[in-house]
Amino acid sequence: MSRERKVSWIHVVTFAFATAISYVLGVVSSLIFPVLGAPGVSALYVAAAIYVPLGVWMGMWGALAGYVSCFFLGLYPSGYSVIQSAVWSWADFIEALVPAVLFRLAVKDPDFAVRRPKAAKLMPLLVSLGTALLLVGIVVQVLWGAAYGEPFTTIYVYSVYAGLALSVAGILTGLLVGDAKTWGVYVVSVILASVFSGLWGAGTLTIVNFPPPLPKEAFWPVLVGWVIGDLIVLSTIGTALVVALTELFKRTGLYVEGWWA
Amino acid sequence: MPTILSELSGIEARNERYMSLHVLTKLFIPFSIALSILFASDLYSALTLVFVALALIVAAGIPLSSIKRYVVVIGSLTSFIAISLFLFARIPGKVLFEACLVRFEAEKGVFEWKLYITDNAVMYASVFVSRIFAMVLSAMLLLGTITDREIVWGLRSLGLPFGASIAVSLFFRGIRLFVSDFLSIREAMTARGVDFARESLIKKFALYSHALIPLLALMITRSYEVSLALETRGITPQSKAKVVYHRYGFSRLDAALMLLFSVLTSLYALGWMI
Amino acid sequence: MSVMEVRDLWWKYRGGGDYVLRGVNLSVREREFLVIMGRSGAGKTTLLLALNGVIPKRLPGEFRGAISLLGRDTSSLDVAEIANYVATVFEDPEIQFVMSTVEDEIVLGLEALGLSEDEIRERIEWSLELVGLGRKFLERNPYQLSGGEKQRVAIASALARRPRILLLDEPTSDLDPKGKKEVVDAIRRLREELDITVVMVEHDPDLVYEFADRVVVLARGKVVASGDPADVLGDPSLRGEGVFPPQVLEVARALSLNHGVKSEEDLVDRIRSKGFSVKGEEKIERGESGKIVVSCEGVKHVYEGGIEALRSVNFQLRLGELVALVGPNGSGKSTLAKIIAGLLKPTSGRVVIEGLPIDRYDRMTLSSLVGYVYQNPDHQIFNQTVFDEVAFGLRLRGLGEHEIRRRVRSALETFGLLGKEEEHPFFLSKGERRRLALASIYVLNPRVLIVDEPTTGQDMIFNRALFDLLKRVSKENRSVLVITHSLNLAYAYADRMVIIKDGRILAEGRPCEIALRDNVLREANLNAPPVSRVYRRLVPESTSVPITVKDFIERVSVAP
Repeated sequence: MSRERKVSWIHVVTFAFATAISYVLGVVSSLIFPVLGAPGVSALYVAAAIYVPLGVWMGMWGALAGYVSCFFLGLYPSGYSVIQSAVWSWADFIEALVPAVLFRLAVKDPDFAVRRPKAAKLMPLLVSLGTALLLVGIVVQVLWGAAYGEPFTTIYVYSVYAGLALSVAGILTGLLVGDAKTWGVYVVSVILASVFSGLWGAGTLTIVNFPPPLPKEAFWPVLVGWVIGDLIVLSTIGTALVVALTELFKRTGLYVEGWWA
Repeated sequence: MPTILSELSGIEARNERYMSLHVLTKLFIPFSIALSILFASDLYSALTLVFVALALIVAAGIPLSSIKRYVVVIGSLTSFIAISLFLFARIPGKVLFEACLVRFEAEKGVFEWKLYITDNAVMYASVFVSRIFAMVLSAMLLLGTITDREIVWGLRSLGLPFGASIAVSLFFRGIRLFVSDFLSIREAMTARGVDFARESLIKKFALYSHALIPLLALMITRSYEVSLALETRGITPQSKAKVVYHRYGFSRLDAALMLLFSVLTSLYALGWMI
Repeated sequence: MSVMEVRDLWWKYRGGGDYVLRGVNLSVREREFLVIMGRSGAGKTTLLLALNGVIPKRLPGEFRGAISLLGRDTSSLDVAEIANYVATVFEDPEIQFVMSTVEDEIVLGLEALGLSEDEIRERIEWSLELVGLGRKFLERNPYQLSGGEKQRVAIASALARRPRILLLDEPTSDLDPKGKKEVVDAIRRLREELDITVVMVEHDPDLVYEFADRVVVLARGKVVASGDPADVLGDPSLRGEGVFPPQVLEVARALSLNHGVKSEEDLVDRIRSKGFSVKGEEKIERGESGKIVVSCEGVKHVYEGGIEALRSVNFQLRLGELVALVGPNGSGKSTLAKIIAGLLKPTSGRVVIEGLPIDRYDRMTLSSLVGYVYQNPDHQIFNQTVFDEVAFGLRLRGLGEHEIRRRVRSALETFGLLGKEEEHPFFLSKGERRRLALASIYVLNPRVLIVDEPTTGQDMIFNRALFDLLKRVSKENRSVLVITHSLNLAYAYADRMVIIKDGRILAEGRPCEIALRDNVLREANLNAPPVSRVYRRLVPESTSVPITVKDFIERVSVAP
């Protein structure tokens, strides 16, 4: 007798509980490490370390957990209206969707065993720093470099080159941690998830929403804070969790190979 | 019956008349305020929404003192808006204050970073802050008047399967459960010798992160056990059943309120278009 | 007529090393009360999960064999269909609640049956009445009920669907004595009033002896015994499988009074009818007391919201003793224990540890002096390997790796975990995780070891071994404080018992003294051991009572 592969209570219950944890951590993060002026946005959004790995482990359930937890975070304690929250929360949906998609397309059976602990410790530093420098460089160029030229252009160039170099080094170091495919896809997921969710999150807080709660001038500071914060959280805590718990998810049958089951 | 807000923060709505309204009405009213905020582009229309929301909060019996839970949010938003508009934008108008913070010769001209406050910037900031206040109040109204039970049975009565309604119920149960777990884990770390008060911020961050592993391991165990129990109850996530036991009546007052707030939002939309 | 048949059932969990069920054959007869016993890990809960269809339909693994329900092969039935005939009540009542009120909890399963509003209402009232709860519980939040009430709500939810078969998985193991009594009364009522087949997993021999029509013993996934409760419980060869007789039966067999002894009354009557003599009363010796290591004076604790958990408690712990702290849930046991461990600050009063007020200690020093082991070991397991878990506290203290390795190895050896250093704690059994939690505290070499409810959900062999271990630890010139609902173990092992209720200590003393304090025991919803009660009925004027069967046999001789 074999087990049918369809959505069962274990998926629903895990999703509900993971969403609850994400919500609690989201509240705690946004209160302890706030980005001043952007409620619900945390400099270190620890909740992402729950639903993003959940996207790796359980596919669309992780994305849904990100959405729902962010939606409620938007309502309380951030105080956004229900429509604003409904639009804004897609940021966290996207954040978990990225690894969910990448893993389901590229790595069916991820192996997060750490074979080189030093590489595992170095990778988050390189990835976070590299991407942060890259982002800062781009922001400087957009805000000031185009209009004023030097010294902003130089800052932009150096930041971008250094950022790129460090990011690439971070990705390569990630490949050395263990199974190259798993770790490679994971590092790329972390970077893309942070950037895409930051774009949506910052965009819907400042540029597009019904209405955006903050002025458009706040876009760049919110974006930078969002992306860097998520990178740090995902590359440190998120990594620790996927290493510690992936095997657990697999052995308990919670790991979802498809999108929902 | 505790509302979502009372479950999260202890704030409770006390007016039975308001609480006895149909859940759709209680959802529609804050939704309509939220929609109206979209069309409030001047200070007076934004402030009107603030007063409407405040009046509804009083009518629902939510203590006004509960607004102080949002003071930090509102204060922080206000500061950020002011900083954004006065430091990062140059809104034309009568200059009320101007101060140059950074000035140097760049390649293509003089780079100046100024604190630039005009009457229009102040008005613009005020509109933003008022809208935020209205938004915060609408969120409070929503959470303070809806119970999780209403959401659960509401979803069922919409014909959604058991999976949706039970997921919502477990989400609310889960919040309390995991707060309690987190505190137990933190306490257990203390029992082993960790002194959170004395640790550096980075060490604290590392320790709290450490606590996530048992928290998630507990989540897995709980999910496993709860789902096993659910499997044996004769329902699947996909199954649906007609709601015969909890039926919420839709009264004339519900109809009147929904009409009133539809009109409000329509007026705002018209005003915006004109 | 058989309602369920299990034929040559084999089951292995995915990722598990070995088969958990190995060729189980079992027939469940209509209206019988079948009890399944065995050690933790024998496969009892797994067997129940196979009976209700969750295995293999919802859990990944390897399944062989066949199960039929009312003549139908369950492989052709979905779990939800099986649930129309088979209802299950689990050990932990909380995992069975998903809704916010008792009413909604029961309604959840009933609307799916397509019943009308009136029928649902009628079933709700009927099922609550059956378990001794009334309408006033309808609007209550199930999470805020007492343990006994929670479990009864779970039973009511199961019964409301009017199943043919009720599966009970250790329904009383998580409960305090009062809760246990409430649930036992509910089971008794449903037994009397309903035409239902019950299959219950249980460790408690008293419960088994009272209810079972037949007992089946599982060991390592196989059925090793099946038969009449008196025969199975009394079979000495099954002790190794966690099957122990109730004290009443054990005494009856030892005194060759077997036949027809089902209760304490029966035993008393039989002994009297045979004639008996008492070999002199044991004098209660005041042994040498160890040095006082913990002293609580006038300790009071009020939680936020005004809940007075402790009311001016005076309490001492001495080196070299094992103290059992017993009392109903909510009596203040954990609060007192946490105050001693420095995890809570008392609202008023003084706590002195090794001669110094507790607030003079820093966190690290205090946690090295007083170790606290939580009821749920999962709350205090933070690391990914067994080794790292035990080493965690030592690393925090900055010890060198060589010393850490030495001490960890020693602790693992003491707690029977050698060889498991690289295992992930999550994959250990519950008993092993509990031992791991103990080891991780023991390794810090505390003078005082506080253990909160270590026996929940474990079999008798594990529990006795654990208490043996704790007793040995206490004799290493330490003090061990155990919070427990397992009264028989408390009576058998404790040097001193402390009874607490509503934040006050009602009584403390040696177990044989406590067993005489009827009023106190009644007030705290506790019982003296059965042998003590029987002895007092035989010797009403006694000033000391036997606590164990061995004590009883030594004191009482019956005419041949």
